[in-house]
Amino acid sequence: MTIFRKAYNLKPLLMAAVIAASLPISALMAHAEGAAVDAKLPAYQAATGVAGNIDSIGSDTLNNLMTFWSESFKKHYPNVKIQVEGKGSSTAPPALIAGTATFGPMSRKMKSTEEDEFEKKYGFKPTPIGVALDSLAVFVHKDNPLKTLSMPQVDAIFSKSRKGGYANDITEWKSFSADGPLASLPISLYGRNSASGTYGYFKEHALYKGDFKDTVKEQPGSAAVVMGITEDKAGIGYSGIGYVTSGVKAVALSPKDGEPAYDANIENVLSGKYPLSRMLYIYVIKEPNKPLPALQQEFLKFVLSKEGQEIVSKDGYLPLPADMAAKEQGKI
Amino acid sequence: MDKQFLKRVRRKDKIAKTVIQVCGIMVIVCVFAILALIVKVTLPLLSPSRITDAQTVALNALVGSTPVAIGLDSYGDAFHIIDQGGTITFLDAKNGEVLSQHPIREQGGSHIKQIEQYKNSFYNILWQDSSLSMIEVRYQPKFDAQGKRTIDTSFQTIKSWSALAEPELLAQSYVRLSADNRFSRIDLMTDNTLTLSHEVTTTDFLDNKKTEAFTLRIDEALPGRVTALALDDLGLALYVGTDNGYVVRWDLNENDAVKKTDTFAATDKSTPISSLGLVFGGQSLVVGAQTGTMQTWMPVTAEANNAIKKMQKIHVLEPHSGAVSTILSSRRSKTVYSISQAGTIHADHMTSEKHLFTIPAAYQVFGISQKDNALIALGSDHLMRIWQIDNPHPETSFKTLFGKVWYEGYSKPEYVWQSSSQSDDAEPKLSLVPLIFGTMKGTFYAMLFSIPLAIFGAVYTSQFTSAKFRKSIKPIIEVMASVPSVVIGFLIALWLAPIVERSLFPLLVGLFVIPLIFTLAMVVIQPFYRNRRFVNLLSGYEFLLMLPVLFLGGWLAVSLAPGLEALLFNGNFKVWLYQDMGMRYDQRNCIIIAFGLGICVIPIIFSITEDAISNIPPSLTAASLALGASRWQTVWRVILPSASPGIFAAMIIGFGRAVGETMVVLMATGNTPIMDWSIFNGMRTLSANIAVEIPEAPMDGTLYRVLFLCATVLFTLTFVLNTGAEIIRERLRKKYGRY
Repeated sequence: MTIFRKAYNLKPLLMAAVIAASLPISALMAHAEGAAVDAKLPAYQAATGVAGNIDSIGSDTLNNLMTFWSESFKKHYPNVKIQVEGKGSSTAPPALIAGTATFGPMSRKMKSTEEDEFEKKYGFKPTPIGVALDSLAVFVHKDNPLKTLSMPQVDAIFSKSRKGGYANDITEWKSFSADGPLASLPISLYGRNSASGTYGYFKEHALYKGDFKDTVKEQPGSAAVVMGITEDKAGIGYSGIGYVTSGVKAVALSPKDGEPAYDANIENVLSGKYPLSRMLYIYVIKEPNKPLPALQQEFLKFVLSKEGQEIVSKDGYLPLPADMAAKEQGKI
Repeated sequence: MDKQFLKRVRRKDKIAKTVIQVCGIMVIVCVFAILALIVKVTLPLLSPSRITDAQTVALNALVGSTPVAIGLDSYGDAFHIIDQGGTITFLDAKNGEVLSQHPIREQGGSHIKQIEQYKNSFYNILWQDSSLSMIEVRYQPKFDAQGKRTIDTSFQTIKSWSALAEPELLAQSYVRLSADNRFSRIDLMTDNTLTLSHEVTTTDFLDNKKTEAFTLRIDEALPGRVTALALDDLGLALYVGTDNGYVVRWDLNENDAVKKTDTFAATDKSTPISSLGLVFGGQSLVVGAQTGTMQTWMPVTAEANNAIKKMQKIHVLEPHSGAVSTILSSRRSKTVYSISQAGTIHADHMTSEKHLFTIPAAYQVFGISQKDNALIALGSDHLMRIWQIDNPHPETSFKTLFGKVWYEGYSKPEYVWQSSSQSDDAEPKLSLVPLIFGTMKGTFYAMLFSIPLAIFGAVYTSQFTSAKFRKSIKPIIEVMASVPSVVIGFLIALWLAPIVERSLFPLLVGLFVIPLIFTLAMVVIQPFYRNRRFVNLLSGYEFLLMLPVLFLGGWLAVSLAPGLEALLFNGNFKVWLYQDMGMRYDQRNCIIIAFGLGICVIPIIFSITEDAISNIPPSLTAASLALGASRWQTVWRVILPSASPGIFAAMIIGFGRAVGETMVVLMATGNTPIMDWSIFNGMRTLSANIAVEIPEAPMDGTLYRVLFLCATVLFTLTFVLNTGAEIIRERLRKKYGRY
């Protein structure tokens, strides 16, 4: 719903909606144990004389995280103002190029055409800083008996091009269960809008770069996808695992037909067994051979610290291991 | 009256007239200025691609023997030449000075027999002694402390293969490296047979590397002598073209087996195939023939069996005048570059079939930069020429925007809107037809719902209710118009849509039951109307009598629905709809949209219609009633025709509002770009599409301009409709509106 935030000054209403939409999430977060944070991560040490503004425009998946990070960051530096806008990863490159944002959170890597545009403006390439790990989940209604899917099946459900090689188009729940109340219903598809990095990632990895069916209902946010499925018994959709609620169920995925399926938990993501895991990035405008402005540097340092990664874990995403965080820290 | 006063009045009249005229003209100017601005952003979509002849560099004497391959960096700073003797030379593009020169093989010795370029930076070099090298040429921008850019040029040998036992048997070799570390090598022997070998390196969790090798011979007889060969970037598919016009395709996915998937005649009259190439993405094959024709083919699902894909001719590109000798593809779009034996260079975009430019005259070899922004060619006059390519919108043409296009991976030509993707090699699908269709569909259902309600409502309030009641009802309905549409969208998407989904069947039953109950009620009530006292008492408040009937109807519909559903549709109407009628029920559908847009549009139509009716002179109504016509006859025969121009205008204004309405459709339609008139599914409208995609469209990019084109189409649509409506309204006014 954040898409409307700028166009209409309806913040109170939207805030109410966002709170309403995120209630089940926070309820779940309360009892779900977040993934353990690597003990070797450095603790954050506040610097002095840091003040100014940070504007962040980009991923909707990272929107919650960015907001939580900003809140905790502001506890260290009360004079810092941070504005976070999350309409989709594809909005990050235009905003960085136009100079309306200093941070571009993205749930995917920039395309080379986007990098080209950036380079045309600045003369150097943008710098991606990996800030968290995420796994995309395929959600179904909580009463749906479906437990596992193979990636080619996911492709056959969502894609009209079926590049995954599954023989038949899957449009009905009959294909999975012969009886039960679902058997007679068509599959109802939910997905993200095209600005979303989740959309792009799913298209590349789950659809094997194929095209979405026209019947996929595009929702403006991940929470809206989950809401749609909660209300729709025949629904299936995808979004970041962080958005899971009690109304939906994540399906275990197997990379190929006939192979074992894996849940979207941290072990399976780190070992690379879960097929839809990815890195989340914050893109920055870093001039070669020059350090970032102090404020941006401190923010990223905070994000990559133990404190920052604990927030990642609390929000349902997967924290970076210490060596990975150190590598990203080196890019700043 | 004194003259002074008259003068003052005239002066004031004059001032008022001028001010109003100026303001009116300003409004018209503003509207046209907005249109002009929108169109101005759109226009570059039509502009042809330009190439500018940037530099000419005389071939330096330092470069040894005949150049066999050339290429350049994306910044226009440096380029490289690989010569027959096996040396790579990097040169400065500004002045032609040699930056560095290296032998590709340390041991030197042999000459290059065959060289193949792929991904615009990799070369497979087959040496005379039948050994093989795969190299990558790299241009890395480096920045010094002042931020000044320099280009670091280097090349790296990815892998080398040693010479064969019988070198004279090997004619050509091609190698590819896949994403999971598999080298796939194809050897074409002089006896017209093919050998395939894979070398797979796997790394386990303990970082131990294990290499396995597989060698496969392709034994089956080929349809003719091999004249061209193409391998996709990852080594997953092999295409071989023959001297009698056939192309054979093999699937190389498996390590230990090679699968022939197709053999097809790719040219007319068995013309030999002179060159093959793959368009960026590795899906489509470009077939260049001896006669100069260029066509693209791709695997398409055969109708009968879903799993089997057969190659099919999709696009025809601008033909060369002579045989096509080399085909290169852009790494940024579906642009195909080709050179003929005569040395003419062509650039064509596959999807739009647009011929981008021709470079005439005789060139021997050419190369393009990674970013698809520069082209280098070596002329037969030993001059190197570098062109800057300005090719911002190759993918748009009238056909791709408004016509059916056969996209990669589709089984037939279709209208598709799917603008963005994470991968660079995706084919942008920018057909505006589904969006225009969606706009029309949403508006149609909204008008179907709101016009009868609003007009009958207006007629009733202005003609049948008491004046006191009328005075309060009109402002109430007009207040509806002031509800922000985002709030309406929000409510109907999150609150109404699930309700309608749960009670779809009662809703449909209600559509039949409520009018039926109303008619029954009228019949029942008839005897009472003979009583004058009753009529006078009720006059103007008849609707109060109807309220319980309405509730009764609603209650009946709800209580009848389960029984009827069980009786007629086997207990589930949605399932029946899907299985017997083939219609899907989506939660976000046109019923919802009709309600949502209705709330926006009804107040407008109602209010204007009410005004139009109220403006009918009371003398007319009085005359009609005095002559003995009933109230209904008066309304139907006298009032409605007289008010028809106004009512028509109300409908058109409502229509215009519905066409342009964004927030309601954006939030409640699901934004599915489907082309289906069914009331049970959604749509994607032009206006919602602009709102959804403009934040992700890079300024001045193709998507950005296409979205402005959407705006132009929307503008034109409302402009044409409004003008048409105005003409009709004038006619109605001449015919009926005499007051």
